[in-house]
Amino acid sequence: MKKIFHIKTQRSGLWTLALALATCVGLGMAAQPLEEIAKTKIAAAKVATDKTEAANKKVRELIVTQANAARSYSDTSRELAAAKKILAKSEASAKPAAEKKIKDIETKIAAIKKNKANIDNQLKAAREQYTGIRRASYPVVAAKAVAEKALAEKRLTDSKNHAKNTTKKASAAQAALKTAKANKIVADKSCKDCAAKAALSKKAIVGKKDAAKVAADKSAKEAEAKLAAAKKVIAEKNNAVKKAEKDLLAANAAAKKAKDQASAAAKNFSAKNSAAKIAEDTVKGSNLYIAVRAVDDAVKDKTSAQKAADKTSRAEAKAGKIYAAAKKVADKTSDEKAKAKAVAKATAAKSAWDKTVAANKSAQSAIAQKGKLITTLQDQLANELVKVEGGLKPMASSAWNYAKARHLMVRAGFGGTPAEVQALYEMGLHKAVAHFVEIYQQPVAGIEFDPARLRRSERWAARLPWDERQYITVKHRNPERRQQAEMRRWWLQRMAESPRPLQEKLTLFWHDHFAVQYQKRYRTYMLFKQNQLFRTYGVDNYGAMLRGVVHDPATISYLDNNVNYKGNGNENLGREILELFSMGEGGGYSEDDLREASRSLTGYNYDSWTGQFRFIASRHDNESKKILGSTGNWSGDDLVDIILRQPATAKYISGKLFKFLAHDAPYDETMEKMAEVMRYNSYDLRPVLKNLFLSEEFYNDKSMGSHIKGPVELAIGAIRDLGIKEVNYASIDAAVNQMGQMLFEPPNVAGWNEGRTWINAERILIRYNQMAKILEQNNVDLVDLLKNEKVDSSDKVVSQLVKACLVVKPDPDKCKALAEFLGKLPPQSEWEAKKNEINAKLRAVLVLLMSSPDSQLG
Amino acid sequence: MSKLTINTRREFLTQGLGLIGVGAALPYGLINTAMAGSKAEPGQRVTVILQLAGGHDALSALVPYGDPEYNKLRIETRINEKEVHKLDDYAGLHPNMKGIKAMHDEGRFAAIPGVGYPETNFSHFTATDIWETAEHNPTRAMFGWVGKTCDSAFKGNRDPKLAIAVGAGKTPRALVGKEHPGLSFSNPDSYRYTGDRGQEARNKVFRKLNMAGKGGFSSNADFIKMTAGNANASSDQIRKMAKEYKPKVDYPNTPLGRNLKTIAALIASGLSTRIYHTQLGGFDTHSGQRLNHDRLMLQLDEAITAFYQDLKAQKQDHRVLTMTMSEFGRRVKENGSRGTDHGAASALFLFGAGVKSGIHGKHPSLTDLQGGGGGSLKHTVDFRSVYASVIDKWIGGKSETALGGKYPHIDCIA
Repeated sequence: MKKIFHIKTQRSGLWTLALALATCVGLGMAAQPLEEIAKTKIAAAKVATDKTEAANKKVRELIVTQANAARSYSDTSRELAAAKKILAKSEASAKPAAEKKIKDIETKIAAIKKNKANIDNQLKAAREQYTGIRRASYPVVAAKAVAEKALAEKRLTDSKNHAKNTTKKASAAQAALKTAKANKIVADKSCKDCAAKAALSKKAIVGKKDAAKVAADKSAKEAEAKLAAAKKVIAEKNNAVKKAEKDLLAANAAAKKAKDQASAAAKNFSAKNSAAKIAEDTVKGSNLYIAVRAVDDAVKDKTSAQKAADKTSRAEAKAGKIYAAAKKVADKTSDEKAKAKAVAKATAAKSAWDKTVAANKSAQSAIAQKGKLITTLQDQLANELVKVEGGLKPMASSAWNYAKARHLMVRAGFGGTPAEVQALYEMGLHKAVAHFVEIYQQPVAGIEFDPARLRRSERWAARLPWDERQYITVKHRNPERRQQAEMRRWWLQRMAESPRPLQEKLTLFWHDHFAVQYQKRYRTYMLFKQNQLFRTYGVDNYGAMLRGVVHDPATISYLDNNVNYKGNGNENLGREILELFSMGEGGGYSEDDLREASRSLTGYNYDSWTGQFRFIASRHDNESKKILGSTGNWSGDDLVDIILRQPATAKYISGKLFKFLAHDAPYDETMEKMAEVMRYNSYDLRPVLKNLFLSEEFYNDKSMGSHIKGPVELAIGAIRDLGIKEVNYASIDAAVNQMGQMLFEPPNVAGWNEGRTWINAERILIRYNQMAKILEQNNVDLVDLLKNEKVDSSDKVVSQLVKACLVVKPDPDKCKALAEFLGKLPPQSEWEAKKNEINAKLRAVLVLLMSSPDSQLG
Repeated sequence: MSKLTINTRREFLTQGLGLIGVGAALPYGLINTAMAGSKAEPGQRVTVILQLAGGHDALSALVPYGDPEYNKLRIETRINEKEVHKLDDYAGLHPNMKGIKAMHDEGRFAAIPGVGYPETNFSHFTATDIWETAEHNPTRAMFGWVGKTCDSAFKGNRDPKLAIAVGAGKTPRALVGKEHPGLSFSNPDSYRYTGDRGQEARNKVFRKLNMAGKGGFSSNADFIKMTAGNANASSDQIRKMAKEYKPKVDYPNTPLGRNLKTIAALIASGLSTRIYHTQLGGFDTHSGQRLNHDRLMLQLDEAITAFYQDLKAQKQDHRVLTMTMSEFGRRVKENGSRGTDHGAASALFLFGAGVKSGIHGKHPSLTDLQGGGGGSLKHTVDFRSVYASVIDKWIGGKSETALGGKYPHIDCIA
């Protein structure tokens, strides 16, 4: 373990360095040009890979050697067997020779065996060395990949710029050619003019005499000269055009080359980019692996230390007993001589005992140290995990305290007594979170419920006369209602007593999320099945749960999908599945998507007699549908797959979970980070919940004590906080119903709105009144709750009650008013004798305490 | 009334104090407690908002019986010409709206067809939020339109009872304002603290723990403190008023009947409340619409009729205006289960002596539709125009401040 840890620190140092350099490169801060950095990195990576390769080669060679040794062992063994056979058959005279041969072979075998063991050890060491070297090479290789990526990126930018410039040049050459051509046309024209003028002036000479002729000659000569000049200009312009044409060809070729280069650079960059990503991921994965192994090893280490400590502690006890016996003998002995002997014996026993005491002490402190190491390693592991899977920033274990343990107790569960909170606190952050999230490590509740598939009415009853119809209806309805009430009580009891409180808490959350009302169909059996669906997948996998919901008779019947037929659609389920159950309002789907989603759900029906899912193929729309950009003949199951592929889904579900479990105003970034974990784990919920319960954000001021408890949370919270035994769950059911939360009767498909909607002027009074009833009607033993606390004043009683029941502490003047109301109590030693009287007094204070605004928060 | 910024002596007192800088220093608790027992001034106007929750198919209430398209598209849910109470050649009221028809004939009923807004949202929850906040993007909005109206019309008046929701499981978002949290209870009998078991010593501690005038909206803790304080300050008065009230007519024994009876009791007893809110649910008629909707119309008609007869007998009817609202209407074409799916524009009804009787605005076209699927009605009147008319001409606030924009009035208030 220590070795691995050592390597890890060394490696993480290297990696930090590499990262720092990479950052410099990224920010363009490097004094060195990228090429040089890349060169260094490539060289370093080559050294590292060469080293890895060398180590690997050694391993390979040793494997061959090992195989050879094995072969020679088996050859020799065969030889031995043959020799033994010969010995058995040989005459007496030949026996000694044969025996000698056997002996020789046996000596040879021993040597081979020794050699083989030696090779085995070498191979093991070489393998370990190879693993270490290979791991150490990851960050170096990643640094190289990052540097190469940066270089490729720069080259890409450069070549893009170059291509841009050459393209510009090419178009300039094009323009120049155009100008040259235009110039040539102008020159052509002017030359033509000159030629015409020259011809005219030549003609003018004819018939002219003397002075006129001289003048005409002169002008003709001038015109000739001009023509000649113009011809020269044309030649020039022609040349210019030719040159421009040549230039253009060259420029175009250059531009093409530059473009090709740029596209090659882009290709190269994309290759380097993905290589860098893979290399970086490898580093992350390797770090995570090491962190996981480190925790495992440390735990094993601690277990063996614990075993050792058990031994030393037993030895200590034994030595202590021996000493005590020896001392007793020494004390009793009166004979001087014998006494001296006995005393000496006792002294020896004492020193032996002292030794064991010291040994045990050091063993115990070793355990404590190893425990601390585990905590550190677990913190590191949480951080490495976030680097790989994403998620919220983990809190350091050192920040863990009683108040945070209380917070976790209330949010991941419903609450707990001060003793339970203390125990949770002592587990430490990581173990405490695992205690809630790893539900399968806890026993099951063992509180069972088995609903009958009762019907509420008979179809044929409608044809009976009124009184007979009534009789039949009542006969069916009453047992159904009774078992519905029984189911509510059953669930409340599970919430209050299950050793897996998070499972029940999230079952409540999903019941609220995939809300269905009993009053639509009056079918307890179907609701029970749905409830079990949430219990099965609620802490497990959201995707599986969503698929279950699409096949869930309670959901199908509540949202009218049983009348969603091909060509005669009903959009109720299709709408809510997108709007409320998965992507959320504004999650990026359109009204068209919603209609198409409804079409995919046609034929998803249930059997009203058995209460089971049933697919009616003849009612399913088998035409093509286009949902969220994918087109095909989708079924409702395909719809679930399509929804799970949408990034919005994980974000919406994460946000809702965060609001329910942490606080109601998360940043967008927070929800996105949680969604990353959800997506990475294919909608597995436990990694998401673990990350949340370990996170800084879960324990910040915005979160702690900010949650307005729903009625069920309030009532179950009181039961768990006060450790009330023998609860009358019918009274709890009635109370939460009065407070506005009847289980299986959310107000509508959007569920209870949670948060501030639980509270209004009337509701707050009802909550106070109902909590008073619960506290008075159930056997709340506050004397028992406070028996381990020293409460010698009424102030202290109030503060202990606050500690037990409230997350938010009321103002001091309110506590004072409560203490004054309580008045002076007899000393605590007399409480047990006057239990009823004291309990009544304490309960009156508790009722008032639970009638304060602070008691509504958790 | 709308011209006056200071409506009552008491508001003058608090506002005046604010002006000279004492009100600001006066603890909220003191003002609040002082206001707790406040009474209405004579003639003070009251508005009742009646939410028809679920998306009301207005085509089945204000029936366009004269439109051939209606008779073509509606088969299972159709209300025949023979059945309707005709208002004119085109439209008539649902057969169960007998009492309301009588109110119409007396000049105390107005209907505004085709009320909606651009880019209709078809989700119950978001659409309700849009109507309640009068904001296009309600997730960003903090306050409701009634709350904002109170903030603008009754500035400085910290009476927690200015806006009350009766019969609500939760406080409607419409009521929540920056200064005015809105009060709500389902039933005045249960609006009381009983944890003191009638003992004065316990009650004293309870009052200390739930002192009025604490808290606000900033955190959940503050919000609970404020709500608890308001409950502590108002529950006794409201319960007593409702308990001692003797109505002059029999109310139907339906939830809406009971809620309107409570509202009548509080109005007649002179509670200082300006705006009441109550609701009738069940309008989400995806299947079996005709039967369900008929029943709802009967409940609506009986309750509203009794309410106004009672108010009239108590000589209070002149100061009470009732307005209905619903998050959206329903599709023109029926679905496959004898019902209708979520649509867009719906009609809105006004009751009371303060209304200008008759149909205001244009009926929406049954052929020129919006949206995919079966097609939804295009609105002819923006719902904020109706709000603006009620705020400016009846409540006496400033709709421009409350609604964050100017909306043309509908001439529906006398």
